[in-house]
Formats: sequence, structure tokens, C-alpha cells
Amino acid sequence: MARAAAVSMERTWRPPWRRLAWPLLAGVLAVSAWGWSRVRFVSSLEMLLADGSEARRIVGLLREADFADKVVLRFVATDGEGVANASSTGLVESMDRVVSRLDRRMVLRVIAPPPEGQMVAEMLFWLDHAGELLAPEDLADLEAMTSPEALRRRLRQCYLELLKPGGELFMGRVIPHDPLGIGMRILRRAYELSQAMGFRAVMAQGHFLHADGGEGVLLLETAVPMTDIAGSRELVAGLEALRPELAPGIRMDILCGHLHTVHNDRALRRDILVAATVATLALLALFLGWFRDLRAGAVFLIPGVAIVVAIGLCALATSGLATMVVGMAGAMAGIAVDYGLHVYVAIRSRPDRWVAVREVARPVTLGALTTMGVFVGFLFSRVPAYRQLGAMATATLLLSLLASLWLLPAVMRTVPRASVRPRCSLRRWGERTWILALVACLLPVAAALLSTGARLDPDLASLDATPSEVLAAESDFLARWGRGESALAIAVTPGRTQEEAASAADALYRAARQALPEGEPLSLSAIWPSAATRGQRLAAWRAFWDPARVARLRTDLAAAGEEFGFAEDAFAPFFAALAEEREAMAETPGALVASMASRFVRERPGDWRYFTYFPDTPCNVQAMRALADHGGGGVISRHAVGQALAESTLADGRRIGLVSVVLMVLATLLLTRPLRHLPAVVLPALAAGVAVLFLTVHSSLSLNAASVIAVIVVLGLGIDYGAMTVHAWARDGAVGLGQATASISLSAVTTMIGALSLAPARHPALRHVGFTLLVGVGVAYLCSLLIVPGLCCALDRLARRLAGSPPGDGQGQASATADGEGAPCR
Amino acid sequence: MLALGRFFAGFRWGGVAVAAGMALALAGVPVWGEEAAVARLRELETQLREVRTVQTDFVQEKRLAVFSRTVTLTGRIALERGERLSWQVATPVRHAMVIQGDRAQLWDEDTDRVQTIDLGANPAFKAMFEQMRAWFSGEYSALAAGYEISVRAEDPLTFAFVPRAGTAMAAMLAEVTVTIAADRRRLSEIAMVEVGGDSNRLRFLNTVLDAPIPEDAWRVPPP
Repeated sequence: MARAAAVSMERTWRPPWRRLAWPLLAGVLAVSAWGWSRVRFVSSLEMLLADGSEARRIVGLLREADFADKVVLRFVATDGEGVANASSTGLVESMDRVVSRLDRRMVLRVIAPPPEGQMVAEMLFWLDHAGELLAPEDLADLEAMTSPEALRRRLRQCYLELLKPGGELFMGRVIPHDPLGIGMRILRRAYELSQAMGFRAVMAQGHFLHADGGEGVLLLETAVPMTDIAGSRELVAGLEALRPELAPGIRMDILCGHLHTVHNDRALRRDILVAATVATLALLALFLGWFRDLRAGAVFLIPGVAIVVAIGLCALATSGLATMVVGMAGAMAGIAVDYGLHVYVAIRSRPDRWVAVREVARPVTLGALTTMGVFVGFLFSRVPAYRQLGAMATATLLLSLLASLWLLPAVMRTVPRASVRPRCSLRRWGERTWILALVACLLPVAAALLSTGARLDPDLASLDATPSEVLAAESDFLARWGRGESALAIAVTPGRTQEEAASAADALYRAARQALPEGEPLSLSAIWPSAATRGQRLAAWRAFWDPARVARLRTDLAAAGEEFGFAEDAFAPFFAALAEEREAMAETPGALVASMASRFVRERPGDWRYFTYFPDTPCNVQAMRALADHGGGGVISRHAVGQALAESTLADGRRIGLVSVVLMVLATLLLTRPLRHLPAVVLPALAAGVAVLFLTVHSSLSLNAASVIAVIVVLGLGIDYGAMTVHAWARDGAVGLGQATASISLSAVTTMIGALSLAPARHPALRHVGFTLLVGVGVAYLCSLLIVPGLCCALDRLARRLAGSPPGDGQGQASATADGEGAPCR
Repeated sequence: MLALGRFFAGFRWGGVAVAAGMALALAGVPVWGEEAAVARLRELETQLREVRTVQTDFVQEKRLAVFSRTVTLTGRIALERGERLSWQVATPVRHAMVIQGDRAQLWDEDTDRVQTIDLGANPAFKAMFEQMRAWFSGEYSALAAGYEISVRAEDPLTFAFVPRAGTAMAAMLAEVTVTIAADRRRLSEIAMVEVGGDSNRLRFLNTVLDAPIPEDAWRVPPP
């Protein structure tokens, strides 16, 4: 009677809140549709940088410095076969044509060299204004430079310079303005400043040309931020469209960060399409081939629809959704399909679908909660991409779980019964392998010991999907034209006005000259300091040149020059400049300084930034940070950004890991029955995690900011498989091994299909995630199938031994099955 | 801006390149209008390429505003076309300059030190000497881009080179005149007038073509 009543109850049981399912679904779909109407995708690798981290601060400074938004167009004269040669026929004409056809909506300015014809006049202007540009230490030398003997030596030197071939052309102009040679220090500093920047270029015909001929570059300032995908696409397409303007035999290379953005975006879009297609076809084939039931397609639809809905929901919570995160949808689909799969398999094996759902609800929910626990951990990350992944995956898994438990049974009115032909039951398999399982538990321990060398790869460039030919063109450019400032770090000094920023740069330059352990700082302050500094220097210069000193110098110079035939008024321009009453110059004098300043100053209304370059070494960076890391300033170092990224990723990984582990443990503790099976539940996760770490140490698979995500997902899935196997051990121990673990096998296969669909991805981030998931899930699955049953058996034996119950006592078996505590092993 | 300093450095010796190039490579260029001049220069390129070496004494007169008198220099120039150039001044002070490949060596008696300049690392300097080599090689069509060329006189045949507006040379040089010897294979005189009025006259004497150049000509410091 009691049994009949139980059967009757089973047949009439229906889940509570079932009627709410459809209205709830409609509401969620509506909200998601709203989200889709405002979704914006972002493909910047900056999404992988933690908020508030040093790495993000450095990259932010770099972005605000506008360096990343510049474009270099390299023109190369080739021999027709594409090989560069020294002939420059058509080179300048091609450059001029391209400049005339640039889209001025996107290109704000072409950085051009100062007009050649003005250069001499500008340099003489500098010499006449040397008083306000010379540093205090220069003035200290003046006393010695004006002694009669020093003047004789100096004028002898001038005489020799003027006699040298062509000497009169330039020095003939300079010497009357600078007989003491002190003003030349300014020109020499400008020379050193430009030389230290490391480019090999000459200015001719209004362009920067290579000294060897045959090449030229155009430097463009764009209005398009590198992170703007649509803008970058339009900019690059516009530049590509200029190629027909080139003369025959001229090649044009485009070098800019926008090209990386375009290629990364292109690779991600292509990868997403390929992964979605491959995963769809493979999953459909698997479902229909395995179950031979068209309604199994509903199981497959669940994750797809859930992902689409989740994207819409996430779009409401963020200003830009990382394309990289959307690219992992294939892997998410592989995970999310599991719940429908478990439910579908259960429905096939029970006469009443709702009863089947009730039976399977606990392990399925346990699996979902542990996996969601992983992704909820991601919500506590400081990395925007991780947070988005956490939100999107949690929403996807939750929707898939609810749809599997509530909607799927509703559409599965009748299903074919699964055939039961056990060859080897799960329990028998466990009994046969429990000793082997205990031994196998040592394998993860051994692998962990061999994986102690696992390190995070901090190089974001390894996640860049830019094609090798573009990277080769960049390397070739640097090899041919010089590395420029790429070997230099940059200290940024901000200010609301130009004067404020320039004064801060002056102070930094003075301090850095004393503090830098290696090399010298490069700053515009060396040749063109702030107005305040120039005013102070001009005052000191005037104070030095009192009328008596000027009169004495005039007499002494005339006397010293007589020996070499210098005219009496030879140095009239110099004395005229000394006599001139004037204030410090208010604005940049001419194209020379303005042209140089474009590299050292970034101008925006209310936000000026001055840049001081210095050799990028760890001790220099440390020293400059102490000087520049305040008031919105900072140091941009390519070395430091890698280190900072590693540090922030590790710190974030620890935070995510801690939250995820706590949530997984809680879910596992709450839903695992009996509790003694807990080691069996977590074993696949541990084995999978260790296997991935082992491979990162002993193969080409690297552990980077993207694959860390996959590792944590693998941990969640591992617990999922462990929980399902333990559930099967308790419920279906008597049925065949294959049938008892069918849902786990299908789940693993579908997840691996999702991961495999990412394996051929062009984008390294997706490829890393794909391989990590494949390895991790594979190990977790094999572990749950081959070791967990044996471990369950061993744990049961141990429990009975501790309880004093002899092996083979069947009493506990019946009671355990009834209350869900699991059947003991004989 | 990228190589501003290098450009400064190039200025100082750039005039050397221009002067020497004009002096040694323009021998025998009978042209009239600019287009005709360029056309004739092209025709003469083949003939001038046949001259392998040039050795000549020179007398240079510098009339500069900074000096109260004309300064006269004497010395000797040697050239292996496309290979080496030697410029040695004997009076009133001794100094020397030898350019070979990507290296320039400079010396003067006051410092008695040899300064070596790597042209590969000094693009502006190299560009100037590349221009000079273009003169030596008879590549006048390339040079004509920077100058307006005309015939100033027929007897002796004299050409005038005026730097085109906007070029660096236009800011310094007003005009260069080149006088060709009667045999039309040698240069007899070159005179430069600067924008400020300074002038510079270079007369070539005892010119020898296609004779072996003694190794002493390439020694820095000179023997």
C-alpha cells in the first residue's frame, strides 16, 4: 500500500511555481531585447586590465598621451618586385598625393618637419634669445669664458671654423650672434635631444625621408581613439583606399595601433562565427545521432537562447561588452547544455517526466551552483572582462538551469524509453577499482609537485591577434628607421594650463638629472622651459651683463679678433641682442620648437601633459616614480606594465579563486549527500586544475590572463562531474556503467565540443581558453568516470568500518537509497 | 623634427658637399634655358662618368662680413669618382677632410686630432654627401630639383645655380656660378654669393684627370 501510495504521489507530483515559468520567460526576454537595442561591443585588450591597477594606470596614461592614436605611413620605393631600393623616384610625389587626399574628418594633422627655408633664421633667433634658455650652470661658465685669454682661444676657433670648406655658410651666420659659443649649447642640446630619440630621418622637401633614400614617412594625428572599433575600421579602410594614389614602384605600409584593433576585432568575429557554426553542427549531430529523437533539439536550443538573452541582460549593466567574452559563448554553451542534458536523460529513464526532474534536480542544481559559484567569483574581480564574463556566464547558466528544470519537461510530453542493457554496473565497477582509485588519487598530488614552476605570462602582446605580416612590417620599420622612443620610459607631468604642466616638467627634469641612476632624462625643458623659468633665467642673464661688463667684453673681443682679421663690428648682432630690452617670449618661437614640442607635449583644453623620456630600466623607473607619481602624473614603462599586469592578475586571480572556492565548497557541502562522498565530488576538479598547471609547465600551453578564466571554469565543471557521478553511484549503482554516467559523458563531450570549436581560433585568447578547457574537462571527465566510483566505494567501506558494520550488510543499502544518502559498497 | 640635431650638424659641412660637388662635377655643361640645361646635363652624364679621377690645386678667396679683409686659402682636392674625396688646405692654416664610404675624417692643426664621423649614424650629414656624390656621378637630373639652372656667359662658359625657394640652401645661398674650362672637361672656377652678401671664390689650377692618385692624398692627418 505504502509503495502504491508512493508511486501515486510520484505520478501526481508537479514542481511548485511551475505556472510562473512562462510569464517569467516573457519578462526576461523583453528585458533582454531592450538590452540588445543598446549593446556595444569592445575588443580592446584593456578590458583585461584590473580597475585601479598600476597596469591600467600606465595604459591609461599612455592612451591619454595620444601616442597610441598616431599613425605612421611608410613609403618605400621598390624595384617592382616589392624589394626596397634606394631610388626615390615618385616617393615625394606619392606622399604629397596621399596627404592631399587624406580624410580630414579622421586625420587631424600631418606632422611635418619645419620649413627648411626658415631653419637658419629660427636658429639665429634662438641664439639671440639664449639668455632666457641657458641653464644656471651655463651662466656660471660665462665668467671664465670672457677672460682675454679665453676670448683669444675662442676667436681662433671661430677663425678655423670659418676657413673650413663650407664653414662660412652656417658658422658665418652663427658666430656674429654667438661669439662666445655659449648660445650653441642650446642648439647642441636640441641636437642631443633629437638624436637620443633614436630615429634615422632627414627633413627634405617638406617630409621626413630616410637618409639612405628610397623611403619616407608621414606621421598622422588622428581623431580616432585606438579603442574605437568602428572608427579604426573606417580609418584603416580609408588609408588602404589611398594606395591607388601611389606612383608605380612605391609601396605604402600602414603602422598604427588601430590596425591591431581592426585585426583583433576581425579575428574575434570570425572565430565567434566559426565556433558557433562548429559547435552547433557538432552538438546537433551528437544529440540527434545519440538519442535519435528530434525533440532532443530542444536541449540544444537552451544554451543558445540563454546566451543570447544573457548578452542582452549584460548590455544593460555595462557601457561596452568585451567581444572576447562573447567569443567564449561556445564554451559557455558546452557547459550550459549539461543541465538540459541531465534532465532529458532522466526523463527518458522514468515513466513520469516530473518525477524524473525531481530526482535529478539536486545533482543538477549542485552542478549548476558550483559552476555558477565560479562565475559569481568573477563578479568580484577588478578586471572588467572577468566581471562581464562572470555576469554573462552566471546569467546563461541560471537561465539554462531554470529552462531545463521548468520548461524542458513541459515540452517533452513523451519520450522514447532508454534501453537498459547493463554489462557492468557502476557499483561493480567501483568495487573492482577502489584500490586502484586510491592509488590514482596520488597522481594529482605528483602532478602538483611537478607543477610548482607554473607562472603567469604577463605579456598582453601574446593575446594579440594581429597577423604576423603586420608585426613583421612594424619590426622592419623599427629596424630601418630606428627604435625611436620604444626603448624609453615616459614620465608624465599634467597641468590645467600649459604653464602649470611646463613648470612641473621643469622641476621633474631638474630632479631627474640628479636622481636617475642610468642615463639622462630627455625633456623639452632642456631647450624650452616654462615661461616662469625663462623669466628667471632672463633676469639672471641681464644681471650678469651689466653695462660695464658689456663694455669690457666689447673692447676685449675687438682686441682678440684683430689678430685673426675680424672686423670691428663683426659681433654687432650679439651686442644688439644684449642691449635689447624685452620680456621672456610668451609663445613658442617658430616651427622648430613647435615641431619638437609635438613629441613632448600633449595639448587639450584644461588638460596639458608634458612628457619626460628616460631609459626604461627598473631602477630608473623606480627613481622616476618617486618623483612623478603624484597629482595625476605617473610613469609609463613598457617593462613596468608587464610586471604590474602580472601582479594585478595574480592578485585578482587570488580574489576570484577565494570567492569561487568558498561558493563551490558551500554549494557542495549543502547539496552533497552523503557528506562522506565530498572527496569524490571535488577530486575531478582538483585533478583537472593540476593537469592544466602541469601542461603549462611542461608544454607550449601558457597560463595567461585569458586561460586563468578557463582554469577556474574547469574547477567548477570538475565539481559538476564529481557531483553527478556521486549521484549516479547513489541512485543508479545497479544499472550499467555507461548508462549511469551517460549524462556525464554527454555533458563532457558537449563541453569539449564547445572547447574544440575554439581550438582553431585565430585570436590567441580564445585559443588558450579552448585548449585549457579541452584538457581540463577531458581530465575531469576521465577522473569522474574511472576513479570517482572506486573512491566512492572506498569511502563507503571506510564509513562502514568506522561504524562497525561488516561489508555486505544490505540494511543500510535500502535505507540509504530511500533517503538519498546513497548506497554503501559491499 | 626627428633628426633636427643631425640636420644642424649637417649644415656645417653641408656647404662643403655642395661646393665640392659643383666644383668637381660640372665640367663641360653647355646649356642655356633651364629645361634645355637639364636636357644637356643628362646628355653629358655619360661623358662625365668616364672621368675616373680628378686632382687639382685650388685658391679660395673668402670675403666675409665678419672679416675686415679677404682671406685666401690654398690647397689640393682629390677625387675618385663614386669612392673617395680628399680636401686638404695648406695655408693659412692646415686642415683636411677625407670622405670614404660611410665615414668622414676631419683634422686641423690646432687640435691635431682626427674626428671621425659615421655617416650611417648621421643621416643629415650623409644626405649632404650623397648629394655631393650625385654631382660626382653626373646625376644632374636629381640635383636640378634643388636649383634653377641657367647659362650666365658663353665665353668662358658659365652656369648659374640659384637654389629654389623654400629649400634650406635658399636660406643661405643667393647664387652659385660655375665656370668651365675651355676643354669642357674641367672646372676652372666656382663662386658662391650668400644671402647676406658674403662671397666665396674658388679657382682650380693644375687639374689632372684620370691619373692615379697617391695614397698620401687620403691620409688624415696629411703627411
